[in-house]
Amino acid sequence: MAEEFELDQEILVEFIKETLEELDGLDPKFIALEKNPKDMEVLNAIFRTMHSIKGSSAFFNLNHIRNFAHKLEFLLDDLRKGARTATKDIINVLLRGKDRLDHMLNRLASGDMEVTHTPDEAALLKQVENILASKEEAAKEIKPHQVFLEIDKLRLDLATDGLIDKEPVERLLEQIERLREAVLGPEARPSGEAAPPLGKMLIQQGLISEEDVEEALTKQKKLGEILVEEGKVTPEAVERAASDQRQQAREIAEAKKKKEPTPIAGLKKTMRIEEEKIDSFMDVVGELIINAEVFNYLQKKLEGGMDIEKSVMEFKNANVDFSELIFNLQKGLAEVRKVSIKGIFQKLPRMVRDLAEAIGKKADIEIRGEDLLLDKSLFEQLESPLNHIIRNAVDHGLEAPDVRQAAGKNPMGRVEVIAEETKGEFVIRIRDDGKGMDAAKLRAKAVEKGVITAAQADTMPDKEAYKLIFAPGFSTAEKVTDVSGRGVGMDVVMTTLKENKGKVDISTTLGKGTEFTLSLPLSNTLITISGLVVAVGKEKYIVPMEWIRESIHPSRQQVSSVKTKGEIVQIRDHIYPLIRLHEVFGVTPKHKHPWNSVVMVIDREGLQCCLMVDEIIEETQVVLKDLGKMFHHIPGILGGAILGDGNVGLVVNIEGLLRTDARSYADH
Amino acid sequence: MARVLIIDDSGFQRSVIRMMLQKDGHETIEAPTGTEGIAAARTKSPQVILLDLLMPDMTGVEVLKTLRAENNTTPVVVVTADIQETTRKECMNLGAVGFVNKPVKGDNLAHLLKLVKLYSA
Repeated sequence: MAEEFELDQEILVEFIKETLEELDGLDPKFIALEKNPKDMEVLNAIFRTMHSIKGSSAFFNLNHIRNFAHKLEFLLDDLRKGARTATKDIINVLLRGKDRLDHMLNRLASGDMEVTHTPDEAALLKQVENILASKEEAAKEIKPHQVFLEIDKLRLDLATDGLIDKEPVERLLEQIERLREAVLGPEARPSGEAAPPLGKMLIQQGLISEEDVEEALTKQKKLGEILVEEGKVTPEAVERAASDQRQQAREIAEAKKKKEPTPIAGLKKTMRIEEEKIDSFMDVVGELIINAEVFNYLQKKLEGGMDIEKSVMEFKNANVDFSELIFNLQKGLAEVRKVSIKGIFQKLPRMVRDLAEAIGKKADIEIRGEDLLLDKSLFEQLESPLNHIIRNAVDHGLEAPDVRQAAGKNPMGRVEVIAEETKGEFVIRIRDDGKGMDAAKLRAKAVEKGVITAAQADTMPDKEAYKLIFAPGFSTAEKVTDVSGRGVGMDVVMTTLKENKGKVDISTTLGKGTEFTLSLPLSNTLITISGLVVAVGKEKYIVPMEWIRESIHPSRQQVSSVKTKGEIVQIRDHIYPLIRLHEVFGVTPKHKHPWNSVVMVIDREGLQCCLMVDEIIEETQVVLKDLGKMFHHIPGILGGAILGDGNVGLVVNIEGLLRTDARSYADH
Repeated sequence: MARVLIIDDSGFQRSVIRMMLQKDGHETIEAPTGTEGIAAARTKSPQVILLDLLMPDMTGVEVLKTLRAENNTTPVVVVTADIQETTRKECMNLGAVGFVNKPVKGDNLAHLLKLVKLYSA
C-alpha cells in the first residue's frame, strides 16, 4: 500500500506541474481567439488542453477539476463545431474558468484534498451550464437591450477606425438613439453601462470636489449608531454584539490557521534545461579532470625538489588553463540559469485586456523581444515591477476613449513592451501613447503628501520629479481602486531595481505619452571585477580598476586644507578632494599623512577625487559576491570577494562613495 | 517482457503508463509527439505501441495512417479519453488492435496490461 501511495504522490506532482504549465499558456490563446474567433488552430489547442486536464484529473478522482474542465470542454467543442461564436462574454467566461482551474490546482498543491467547488467556482460552473443550455434560444429570441449593447460595441469599433464622424454614420447613430429611447424608455443610457455613483456625478457636474465626497463618506454612520439613535437598541447591546462579532472573527481566523494543510512535497522550484546545455558542461569538467592531474604531477615534482624553475613555468601554464576552465564553467552556468522571458510576457495581454475592460478603457498591447533569455532569479524579481508599470500605464497613462477621441487620438490606447539587450544591460521599455506626466503637478502632489519639502521641489529637475511616482506613500489612489493596487504600490519598482543594481528612467511628453526604461546589468549573479587590492590598516579592500586613473605618492606640498572644501590634493594643474578610505570605513591606518601613503586618482564620469590608502598590494580578478540586503544601504560597498589568500575583501563602490560625498562634485 | 512505445503529448500520462508497465516488468520508450513516435516506431522496434489520439503536431489517426503506409505492422493500442464511434471505426480499419479508456487505472489498467501481454507474446 505504502509503495502505491508514493507512486501516486510522484505522479500527482507531475500532474500538478504539467497542468499549471498548460494553464499558464492558455491566456494568450484566449486573447488570440477573441481577436479572431474563427482561428481553428488556436481553438483546437485550447480544446486539447482542456481535454487533457479532464482526462488526467479523472485519474486521481479529482472530480471538482474534472467536472469543471469537462463543462469548459463542451463549450469549446461548440465553438469548434461552429455551433456558437466566441463572443466577448464567452471569452470572459473561459478566462475566468481558466483562473478557477488554476485556483483548484493551487489548492491541491497546497495539500487541500477537498474535491468540492468554492461558491464562486460553483457560480461560474452554473454560468457555463446556462450558456450550454441556451443553445437554440440564443438564436431565436431577440432581446432589445442585447441588440443595443452590440450596437454600442460597433460604435466603439467605428470610433476606433475613425469612421464615426462621417456624416451619414452620424445620422444613422442619431436615428438608433431615437429607436433606443422608443424601445427601452428615456432612461436607457447610450453606453449601456450602469449609472455612476451619486458622488461621481456631482463631481462631474462641478458642484462638489473629490475631497467633499471623501469627507462625506467618513461621516457616514455605522449601523449600530443609527439603531441606537432611533432607540431600537441600547448602546450596551450594540457594544456587546460588536465585541461578540470581533471574538467570532478571531475564532474563525484561528480555526482557519489550524486547518492549514501541508503543501505537497516535491513541488519545489524547478527549471527545465535542455540536455545539450548540460552536455557542454561535461566537456569542461573533463578538461578540469585532466587539469587536476597536471597539478598532481607538479605537486609530486615539487615535493621531490627537482627542476624548480621548470616546474614553476609548468605550474603557471596549468594555472592559466585552470582559470580559463573556471571562467568557461562560470559562463556556462550563467547561460543555464537563463529562462525565456516569454513566461512573463505571455501574461501581459490578458492583464491589459482585463484591466482596460474593468476601468472602461480601450487598450492594445504590442510585445517585442519575448524570446530573449534572462537569469532565472532576475526573471522572477522582474515580474512584479513590470506588471506595476504596465498597470500604471493603462490605469493612469491612457485616457478614456472619449477623451482620446476629443484630443484627436485613436480611441484605442496603445501600450508597447519591448525587451532588448544592449551593452551588457537588459532593457525593458514600456511605452504608452497616453496623456503623459506633468512634472509640476507631481512636485505639488509630493509636497502635499509630505514626500518631499517645498524647497526640495523647487530645485528638483523634471527627470527626477517623474520618479516621484515611485516614492513610498506618493500614490494612495492605487490602494483604493483594486486596479493598480494588490497591496503594493509603485515603490516596489524602485526597491526591486535597486536590489538588482538596475535603474529606471522616465521620459514623457504631455499629451503624447510616457516611456519607462528599466535596465538591469546582465550576468548579475556572477560579476567578475578586475581591481587593485589595497591595504588600509589591517583590512584589505578591492578598488575596481576602471575607476583608477593613476596612483601616486604625493609630496607634502601637494596636500593642503581649504576651508570650504576640506583636504585637497593638487596634481599638476588639477585639484582633487582627498578622501581617506580609513575614515570612510572607520579603521586605524598605518600612515596618518597622505604624503606617507599612496593616493589613487579617480577621475571618471564627472566624479573626481583622490583616494588615500596605506599601500597597493596587487592586481587581481575577483568574483563579486552579494553580501545580502544589510549591505545594500551602505553606499561605499559594492559587495565582497574572496581574495587569493583566502581572506574576504570588500569591494569599494566608488560611484556610491562619491555620490554621497558632496565635495567630489565641487569642481563640476 | 515486452518493449512498449508510449506516444502521448502529456508527460503526466506517459509517467502513469510508464510506471504501471515497468511495475509489470515491461521496458518502455516514450515519445511526446506524433512525429517522434513515428521515428521511434521505425528505429526502436517496439513490440507494442500505445497511442494517444489528441496531440498538437498530428493526431493519432494520422500516426496510424503513416505507420500503415510504410507497412509497419506493430500492434497499436489506442489509449484515449471518450473516443467517438466514427474515430473508433477509423482506427479499427487502420488495424488498431485495441482501445483503452483514460484514466488508466482499475479495470482500464487491467485491460491495458492484458492487451500488452497478448500482443507481445
